[in-house]
Amino acid sequence: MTVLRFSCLDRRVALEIPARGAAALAALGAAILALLLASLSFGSAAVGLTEALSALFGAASERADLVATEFRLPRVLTALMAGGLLALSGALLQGSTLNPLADPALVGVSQGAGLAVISLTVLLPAAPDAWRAPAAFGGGLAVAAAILLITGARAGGAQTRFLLTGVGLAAFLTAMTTALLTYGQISEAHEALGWLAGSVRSAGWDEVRLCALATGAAVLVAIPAARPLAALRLGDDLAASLGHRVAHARTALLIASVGLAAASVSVVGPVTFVGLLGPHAARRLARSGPGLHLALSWSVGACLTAAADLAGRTAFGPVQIPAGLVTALVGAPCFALLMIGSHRTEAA
Amino acid sequence: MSVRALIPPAALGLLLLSALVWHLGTGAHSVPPGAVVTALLGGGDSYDAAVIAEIRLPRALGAMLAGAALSAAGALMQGATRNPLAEPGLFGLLAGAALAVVAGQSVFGLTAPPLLPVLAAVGALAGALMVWGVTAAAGGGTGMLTPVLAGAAVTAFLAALTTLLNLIDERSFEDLRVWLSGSLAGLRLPVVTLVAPWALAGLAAALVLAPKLTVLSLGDEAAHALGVAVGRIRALTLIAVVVLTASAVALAGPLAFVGLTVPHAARLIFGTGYARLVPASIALGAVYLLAADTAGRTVIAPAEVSTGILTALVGAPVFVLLLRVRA
Amino acid sequence: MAEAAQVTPGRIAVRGLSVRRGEVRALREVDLDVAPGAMTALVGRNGCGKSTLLKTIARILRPDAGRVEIGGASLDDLSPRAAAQRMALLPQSPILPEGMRVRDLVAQGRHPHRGLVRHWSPEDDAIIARAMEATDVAQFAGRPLESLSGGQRQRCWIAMTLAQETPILLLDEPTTYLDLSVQLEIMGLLARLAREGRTILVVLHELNLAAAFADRIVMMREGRIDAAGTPEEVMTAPVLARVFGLDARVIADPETGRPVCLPRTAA
Repeated sequence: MTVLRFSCLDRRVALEIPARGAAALAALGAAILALLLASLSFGSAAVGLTEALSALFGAASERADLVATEFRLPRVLTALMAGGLLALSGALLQGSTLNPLADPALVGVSQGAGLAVISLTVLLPAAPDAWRAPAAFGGGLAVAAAILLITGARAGGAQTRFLLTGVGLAAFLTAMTTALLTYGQISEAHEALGWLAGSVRSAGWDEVRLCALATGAAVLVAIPAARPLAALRLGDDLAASLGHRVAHARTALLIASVGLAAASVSVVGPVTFVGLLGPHAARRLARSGPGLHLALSWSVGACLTAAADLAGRTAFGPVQIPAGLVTALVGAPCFALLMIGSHRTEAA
Repeated sequence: MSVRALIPPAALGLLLLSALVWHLGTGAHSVPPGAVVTALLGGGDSYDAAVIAEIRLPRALGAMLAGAALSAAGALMQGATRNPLAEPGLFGLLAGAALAVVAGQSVFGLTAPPLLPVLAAVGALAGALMVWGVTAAAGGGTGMLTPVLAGAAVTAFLAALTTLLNLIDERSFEDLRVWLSGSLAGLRLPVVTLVAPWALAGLAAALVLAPKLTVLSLGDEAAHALGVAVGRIRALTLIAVVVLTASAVALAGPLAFVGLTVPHAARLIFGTGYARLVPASIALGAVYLLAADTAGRTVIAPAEVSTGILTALVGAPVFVLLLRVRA
Repeated sequence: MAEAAQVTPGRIAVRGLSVRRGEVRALREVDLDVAPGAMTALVGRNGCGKSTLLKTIARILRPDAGRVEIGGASLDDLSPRAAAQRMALLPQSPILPEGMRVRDLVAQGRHPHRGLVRHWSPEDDAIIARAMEATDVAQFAGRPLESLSGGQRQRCWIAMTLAQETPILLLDEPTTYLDLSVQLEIMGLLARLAREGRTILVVLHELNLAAAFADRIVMMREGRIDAAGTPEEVMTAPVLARVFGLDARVIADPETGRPVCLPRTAA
């Protein structure tokens, strides 16, 4: 395998990236840029590509500037970062549960955040919008804590139990959320329905700041997470004999995963299957160590969510389809294919 | 038959009757149990009798039928798949039925009540076949996890389509949002009489299939050797489950976890043989939804707690307990 | 036709049977007559087709060509229930239904004899009691299966097949994963059932177990029957070399006179 090496300080700091991984990362970067420009340009009010580009640097007409930078730029930035966070969360969850089918939106974390926000809307209609994010965060964390309490965060069969418990809790939370929707005013309920479907429609610069904060935290989490992730891949016994505190590492990774998912959900609502597909696509693009894998996962997740938002608002315009619905409709069949595929490889 | 063998059915019957009387007596205008019985027998205060016969009895009948149907469906599914977590909600049938009804109303304008169970049946069948197809292709027919994950994926997909339709058509969402959460509120006699034949046919089929399911629980090869046509029994069970689910959805909307809660409760009391388990689940299911509906109307009266919230609140701990014991 | 009139219900006749499993031709035009009222052991290396043959006789697999007759009737002409009244099977790994009690399990053996109209009778109870006596599990009747040891469970499953009251009993590796003493106990039970007149066809992994208990041994190789006969006839060094690729001596058990296979281990 071709490897790119970077080193400095007498090779005390060294970075080795397989060429294919580097190429994939570069391609994803280009895709993110392309999506950014396309999102600025396409929509109900068309803005030319060159105009969009110049708006980015503050040198466009007033109208283009308004449409592109005030409405569309925060929206696409939010979509990119929220998607990236979800994919990172999924990668950490899959790595710590050793189950390639784990996804924060499948095990109830996203639904917990959703229920918390809906409860806030219905039970305390006077609460300011700013409470939404912390409520969602708390809801997601509460669900993760519940799963951990129930499964005992142990190794072995606990991974299956973790997933099953999560799926069950997700079903429970969905039922509660649907029922709560019947208590609100119809207009509020309809708006909440849109948020529950995972939408970046109303994203502004506040949301961008929140996402940027969470992304910064994600980087801080991802760097120390790489090594235990690599060790856990070898199985619990071997990881322990290599000197890793397996149970601690697993719990820490789970909490990190939930935190990132909750941050994402608190901004854009529950966007499903990005946390699943991001890491998988990353693995297809390049077999790599956990560090590069996390970076690739982030990029794929960002692309997926931004593309879903773009498709959702332009495909049937003026009707805007929330990004989360697009990812669910595309993601669920992919999930089924992954289940079938992983069975094939096991059987082979 | 010995006297001891008669005790469980007698106890269940008594339980069902008291739940019914409690349900009928509860409400804004409360009626004491004695008056309820008199009214049921065709006598007593004419106002009481009118309230009970015209408003409360349809709802009570609907609750009994929906609870019995969902519980029987859950028991049948657990027997046919040998998966203790099998139930219409987790295995994609409820999501399919809900989507079919919403799509029928908002896309095709099919609002005629007689179409309701038919639409729900088509949707439930489609959901079940999708989950079954993914599970079979993923080679996980025997494990507990694969079908549940397949059910979650299919449910996510179908629920996304339902949400999409609701977002596009706000009026249909307004009409259906209470129903979509699983609720018996506003159930009228015509709907009940329309759905009752479906539900009763499904329940009869469940009782006939029950002994075969006990044999099936020994494994396909053993069941085969004992003279059970395994494939045919599975297919018939699927049809019965779809009919039962559809009638429950037509009456009360997609109620989660009932098909899980009731059969497992019945298993604790009546053991694992399906010949006893299925009838017990039917009776307990009727009692369960009657009680849930009565409680939902009393807790925060005059407002109602949606039946779906109550069944989810009870069902989730049952699910968790099951995992602790079984997985 | 005169021959057909004398056919006993316990007779199994296999004619020109071929079965494909995926790409593999698991059985190639197999002919076999299983002696009624005796125990026949099917042996051979892994993948030789012995389990496939048993499962095809038990109607779990469908043949691509050829036919199976039991008691003179072709399997194709029998309904699942009618076949189950003539032939019982103990699968290799039956499923242990959670919480099922021993008596309830044995009672499942009565399934092919029950219909929608004909329900439980005292005769059924007597048959179940006899089956549990015969396999010595009556003392466990009220206990859940999972509380029993491997050998006790296996005896319960055999009791279930006995309650089916069939002249033919098929068993797929009934001694696997059991302690040696329990293996001997199960085989002794099967030999007794054969002496009582049942036709027993059993797939076995352990060659010496087959030689010690079976009346006849059928050795299979690559989807065909290679040798069939009494243990003394087929347990010979040349046959073992051909069928199992085994370099072995065969000696006679000093007590029973039955052949025992001793693989050469000296370098």
